[in-house]
Amino acid sequence: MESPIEQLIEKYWNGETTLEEEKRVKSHFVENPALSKESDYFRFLKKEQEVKFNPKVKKNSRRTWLSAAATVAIGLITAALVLQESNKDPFAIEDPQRALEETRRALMMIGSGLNEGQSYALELTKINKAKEELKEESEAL
Amino acid sequence: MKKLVAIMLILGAGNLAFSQGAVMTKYFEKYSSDEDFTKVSVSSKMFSLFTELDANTEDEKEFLDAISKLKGLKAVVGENVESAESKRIYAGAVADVDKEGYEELMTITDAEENVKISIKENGGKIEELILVAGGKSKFALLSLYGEIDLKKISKLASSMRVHGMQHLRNLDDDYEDDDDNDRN
Repeated sequence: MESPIEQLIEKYWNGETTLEEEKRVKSHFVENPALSKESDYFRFLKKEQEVKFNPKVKKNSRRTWLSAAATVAIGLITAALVLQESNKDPFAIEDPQRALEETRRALMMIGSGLNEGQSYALELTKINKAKEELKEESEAL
Repeated sequence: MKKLVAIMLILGAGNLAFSQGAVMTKYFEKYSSDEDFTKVSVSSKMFSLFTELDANTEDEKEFLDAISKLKGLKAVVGENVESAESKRIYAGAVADVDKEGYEELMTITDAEENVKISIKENGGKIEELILVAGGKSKFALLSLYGEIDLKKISKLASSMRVHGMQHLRNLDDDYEDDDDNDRN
């Protein structure tokens, strides 16, 4: 015949104990640690129960900073993109052929201006040269 | 945090580097709804597309070479502008360009028109070129952005004058049309 505590344990493993009976089983093992291997299990259970949530655990401050920074960055980048979109040039030429043609015209305009300036500069140096030659000749005389 | 700040700075700098001067922005805004003024803008993206084009002739090759390092072109061109008005806009634009710290490269003044070419340099390289032209009934403000080689551009213009007679004829036609308008 099994002792009442053994019957209780049997009941416990079958999951049929009431809360009251469960408490008795647990205290039995805690009070008699040498009884069996099962006592280890129950002592473990008791220890686990003592672990409590400690709200004062320090949060990882680096992580917090990073996530805040990331949020700000996403906001800023979105704002920058939106701004850029609104700044988009309304007169930009989309057709490559026309763009090439306009570029050619612009370069022609700048180039012919440059050439005109150069030819004036050339004429000026010619005149200066002639002047100097005259001066030299008059000095020689 | 430092990385983040660096990224933001790079983004900001990128924006600045690709935006063409304040003068162009001002004139684009000023004449945005005026149909007598043609507004032209060629983006850096378009220029990078040009570098992939194949040249068929020597002239084309020269042209593509000259524009290969450009990053932007903007122009405001007014046709049929009254002579007095054109003079006034020209003077205003020249003053604006000077105010923005551009260096004068050359000024040509004759009976037909005034042309002023100014540049902005960075480390010995021309970074931006602005041309202001005002003549009878015409006004043009033109800005080139990127690495600009004046020699190439000037050579291009003179070789086109020799080979590209077609272009010249077109230009002459344009001028005659304008003269007709003046007489009317």
